[in-house]
Amino acid sequence: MRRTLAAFKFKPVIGLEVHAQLSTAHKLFSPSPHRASAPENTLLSPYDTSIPGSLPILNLECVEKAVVAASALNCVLNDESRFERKHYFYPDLPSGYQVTQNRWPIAGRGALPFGNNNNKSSEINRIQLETDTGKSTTQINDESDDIQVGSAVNIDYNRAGAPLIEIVFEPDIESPEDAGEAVSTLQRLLKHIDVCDGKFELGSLRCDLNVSIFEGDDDSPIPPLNELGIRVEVKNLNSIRAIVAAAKFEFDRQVKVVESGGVVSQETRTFDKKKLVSIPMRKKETSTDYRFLIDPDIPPLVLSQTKDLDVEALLAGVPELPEQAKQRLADEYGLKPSICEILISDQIEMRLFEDTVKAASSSTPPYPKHVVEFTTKLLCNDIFALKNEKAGEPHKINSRQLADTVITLAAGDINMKMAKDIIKIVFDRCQQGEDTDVKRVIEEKGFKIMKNSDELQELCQSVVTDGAFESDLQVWIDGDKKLRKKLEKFFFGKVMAKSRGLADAGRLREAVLVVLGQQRAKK
Amino acid sequence: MITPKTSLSRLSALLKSQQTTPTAALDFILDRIKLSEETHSLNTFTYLPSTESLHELARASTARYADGSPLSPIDGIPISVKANISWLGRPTSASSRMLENYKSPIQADVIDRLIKSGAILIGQTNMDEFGMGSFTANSAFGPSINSYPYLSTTTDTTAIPKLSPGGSSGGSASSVAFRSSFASIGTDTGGSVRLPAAYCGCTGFKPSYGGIPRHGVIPYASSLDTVGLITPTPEDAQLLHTVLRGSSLNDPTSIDTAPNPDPPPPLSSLSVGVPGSYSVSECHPSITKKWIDTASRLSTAGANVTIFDDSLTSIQDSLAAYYVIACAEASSNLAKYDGVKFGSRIRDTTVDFSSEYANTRAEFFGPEVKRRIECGDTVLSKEGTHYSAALQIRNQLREEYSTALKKYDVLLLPTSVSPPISLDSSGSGFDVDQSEMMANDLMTVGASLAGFPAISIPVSEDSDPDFWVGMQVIGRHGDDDRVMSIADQIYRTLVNRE
Repeated sequence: MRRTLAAFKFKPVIGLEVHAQLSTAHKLFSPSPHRASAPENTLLSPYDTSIPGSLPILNLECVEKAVVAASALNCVLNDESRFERKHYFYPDLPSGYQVTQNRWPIAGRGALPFGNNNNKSSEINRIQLETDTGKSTTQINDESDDIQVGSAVNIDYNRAGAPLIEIVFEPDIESPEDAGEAVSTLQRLLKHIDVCDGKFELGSLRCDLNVSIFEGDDDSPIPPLNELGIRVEVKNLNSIRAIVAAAKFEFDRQVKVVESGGVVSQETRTFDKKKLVSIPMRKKETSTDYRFLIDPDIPPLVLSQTKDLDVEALLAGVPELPEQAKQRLADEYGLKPSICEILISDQIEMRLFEDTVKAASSSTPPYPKHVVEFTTKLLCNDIFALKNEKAGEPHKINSRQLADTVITLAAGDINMKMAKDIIKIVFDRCQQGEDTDVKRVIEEKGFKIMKNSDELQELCQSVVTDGAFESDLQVWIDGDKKLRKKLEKFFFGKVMAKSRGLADAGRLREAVLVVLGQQRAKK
Repeated sequence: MITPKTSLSRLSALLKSQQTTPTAALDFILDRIKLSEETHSLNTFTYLPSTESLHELARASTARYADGSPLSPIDGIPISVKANISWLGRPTSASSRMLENYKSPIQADVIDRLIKSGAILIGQTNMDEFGMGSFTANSAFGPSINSYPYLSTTTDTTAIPKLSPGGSSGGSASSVAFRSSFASIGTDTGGSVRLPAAYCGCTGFKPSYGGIPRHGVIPYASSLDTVGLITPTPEDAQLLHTVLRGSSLNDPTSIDTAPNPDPPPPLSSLSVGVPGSYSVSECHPSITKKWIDTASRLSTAGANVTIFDDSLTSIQDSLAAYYVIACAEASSNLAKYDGVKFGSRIRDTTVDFSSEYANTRAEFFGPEVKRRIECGDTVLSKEGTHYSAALQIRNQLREEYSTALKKYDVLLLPTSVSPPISLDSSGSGFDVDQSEMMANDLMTVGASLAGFPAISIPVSEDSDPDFWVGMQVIGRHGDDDRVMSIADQIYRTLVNRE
């Protein structure tokens, strides 16, 4: 078969490099905390500004987070890794070098599944632990990486030395949308395992892309690396949207260059998120010689021989991954996918949900449907709404309190409205540090459904025989079926009001009919 | 009672028995400093605290002795420290114009330990800029002069030769020899404590790598830098070592060396290896003579002395490997000096930041520092292969030292290849041949590369014109106490000083 030119088109190949700031209490090599919100230059230890004679002390918490991330990303852990110095001069780099892991990273080979039912995956080349730089707070010329001559530069070193992991992916993603989806999956995963808060807007997550193109039709596999086109790097992408847009722009740009007979040049570009275009950076990365040197101040990191580091225990404690958790919640509790998604986004709430259902069920799985339903409603509607009012501040309701509410509700001793009231009261009291017992709240508020038929009939009697409703009673007796129904509802509402909403609806409906019947008989 | 010949351990004993007081010791030292700096212009110190503050410390220490509760055997003893050891709130210049007005915001662990032991820190001593040099000739403060010849009774000081004290801890060694301090804390990267100690007729101890914490020491080459001691005698070094030794949480490369509870083996059961491969043609005849003489006197005293030519075969390459590694690490360690966060700076808003950096570094680093940074940048470049080759030689040398030290308790070799150079006729500096200067480090860089403990001891009587010849005793890694006690025995066997 003759191949026509039209049957061929270009396809992109995209590789990701993601920098994730670890959510640790301290920096990688100094005891200073790192927070995006602190006033400039207030989170500094001598090492952070490279005071001569200060030395790096490896913070094990950072190693632990890197190990957890490596495990969650199915990477091979390297028992021995080494820290190296990567040299370049820039005002936000206090020591003239970044401490990173170039030749001996903490983890190698892994993969990130993403997409619907994890039908896609991007291979991971390595994960390395490294230090972050400070920040130049002055405007830096958009079109280049250089600070403009003559402008005063303010440097905030708070971020200098903050712990990062760099996750280097293989170039194997086939569309800009997939690149966005992969990063978004990674973002959720890192947040879920409490390794990184995933906030692009605070710089906790940063992404670089490399894009190249090849000729092929829809089914063509990605050719081997050496047959791919020149790779172009696009740096500093700080949102999923920017990643997709930058990959698209870069793909289109390269196709245009090649179609017009040009050659794509190897370069590093930066993305302008307002204009949605990428611009070459003035400094060519390829020309920089970082003069890598094993950091002589930091002994090699040997996981199996590090005091106070128990990798096995750490790996055993790695939380279930989002995809697994989603599946399990659906299987064990019969939850809808949308509810699963909400629950897995927060470890603590997911645990609260599971503990509550277990505590409120006398049996082992499958759990009673209404218990699951009540728990989901009270947690996802009421508690989350109350939490949002408090700007997402963690709440203090425990599974005992929620389970007691659910149990009472399931037993029909209270109704949903009361349950909601109880949750609000308990939420507020807990917030104020009171240890609140649900049963006491019920007592206090007199929340008790009237279920006794005699009592309910008595109550009905008192309403129906009230002289004020005599004409209504007569209408019921004389009326047609439709009219009767309407009046039954009317009496039901009146009695319910008299019970102050405490009457069991089903039984009350029954009692109303009984009492009305009795009245008709009397007449 | 205290004389220019009183050793640190002798002073410690006098203080303990209350035959003298810290105040008296301080008065003595202040007189010596005046004589050394003002009369002889030896240029030993780069910084001296106010005498009032020193007297206050001495008074407090005197009170502790009177109370019978001194903090340690060195309580009240005046000690100096090299200018690259961070002293909180004090100038810590490393003899560089780059740190001319810098006051350290941190306190080195060694300074901390000295202060907690009650030692009186009487000043900072001159050095080669950032430790780069062997003659204390590369200093922003000008060269230091070797004080040893000034100890003779000659009254005509103009006739005294102006010799280099060695380096880079030249100010420390010259100060201890002159007893303007009873001990000095130096740093030794490739011989910077041992060489000046030898040239000034003192004892210089370089511990196993990490044996004394580096925290607060302004780095030259981190994997080689050690904190070392310069004292009048090996016994003094042992005493001072007891309060400075041991790992620190501030230094991840620091270690605890083995304490040595056993009495050292008597000379008669000591096996001493003499590495013949260090007998190079460049070796000055006086050095070779003293080396042979020392070996034969130890043999006569009953030690089992063996000259061996095998095992140490990497020494010819060791010097090159040392300079490659030291320069590579120096270029990295000194990258932080850009004037932005601390130190000197040429502020110029008309140029971009990289030009400002270049101007600042060109202006405030001395020529030798610049040379070593350039050398280090080159060996670390992508195309460079020297650095990995140097690491290989280093590993091989460490193996060779280990092998030899399985056979012998200690190794005995000279501390230098040549005698101290003289101040040139103009009196402004030393005639330094850079490659000759580097060759002089041949004897000392081995123990530095291997990370093994080494101590240089004087082997001459007071009046000997070859006073500048020192002998090194090198031992196994972590065996610092034993090396010092063996050196002490050898010293007592050889030298009969007042």
